Amino acid sequence: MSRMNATSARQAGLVALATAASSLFALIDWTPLSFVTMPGAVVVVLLLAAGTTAVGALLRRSEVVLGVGGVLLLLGLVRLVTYGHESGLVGGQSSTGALLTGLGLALSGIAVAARPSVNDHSSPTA
Amino acid sequence: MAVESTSGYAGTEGAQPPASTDDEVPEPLPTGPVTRAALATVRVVVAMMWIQNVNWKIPSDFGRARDADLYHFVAGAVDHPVLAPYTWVVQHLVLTNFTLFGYLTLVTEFALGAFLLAGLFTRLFAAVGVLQSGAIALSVLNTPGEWHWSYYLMISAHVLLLAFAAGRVAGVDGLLRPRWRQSSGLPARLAMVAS
Repeated sequence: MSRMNATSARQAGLVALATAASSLFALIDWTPLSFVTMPGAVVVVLLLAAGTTAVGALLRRSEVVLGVGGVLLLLGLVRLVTYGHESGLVGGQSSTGALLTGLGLALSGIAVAARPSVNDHSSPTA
Repeated sequence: MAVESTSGYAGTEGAQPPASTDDEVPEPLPTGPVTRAALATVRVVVAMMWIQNVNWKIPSDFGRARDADLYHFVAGAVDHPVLAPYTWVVQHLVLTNFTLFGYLTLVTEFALGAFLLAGLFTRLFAAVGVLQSGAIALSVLNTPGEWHWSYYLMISAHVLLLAFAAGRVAGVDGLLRPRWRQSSGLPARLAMVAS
């Protein structure tokens, strides 16, 4: 997998920032702004994901960003199908799963868009 | 070569503008950074609305035993009818298969939150959001204590996201559409329509 360009790396960095900021829902105890249920284990997951994505963005490694996106996507979907069963890293409620899935989709999308297209042929005669 | 006249008409060099440009050329919509930021913000806010509210669609009975949560609001279409055909559908199809309907609602609203947040297939999910908001409105518009404008605003927000293809601003749609455009395959063509 090729290195991300500066634009993709910046986009991944912004999503890393949003991912870290999402963990602040753990501090909000006021229903109108308490959009997402945020247990401690998910805070750790989000901060680790944000940190790893930031490192991937700095190194411009799309596979790192894709890997983090895939993990968040998986955790979000596991939360959906196991709803009602607390199990460590996939704690929280449906809102937690939807947030993880959305962030996972965003990171995966950035990483896929950063890959060279199959139509990007650079012919020496072109 | 495209030129812009002093009147603001952009046309081909040497060509005459239409006799009445005011009637024929609509005023272009703004596309500046404020407009783009506002559109992205509305998309994320709408996504967060679904994400917060998916929480009280709780399997496996979705509130049926206590006449609470999702069951209570869906039953509102029967207890406080809004539209007779819709009430019939809820009474004879939805409430009789309520567990299935509950899971469909959970998955739909979960997907609405996640996909609108990422800005992926935004036009498709904005259309789903219009339908879901419309169904909710038809269930609860006559329920005491409900503010009907909530549902009109929900529908309007999704129409706006659909009309402006809001995922192309700060969303995954904007990143992947150039790639999909280059492909002639059916999935890529469907993705172009959905985004």
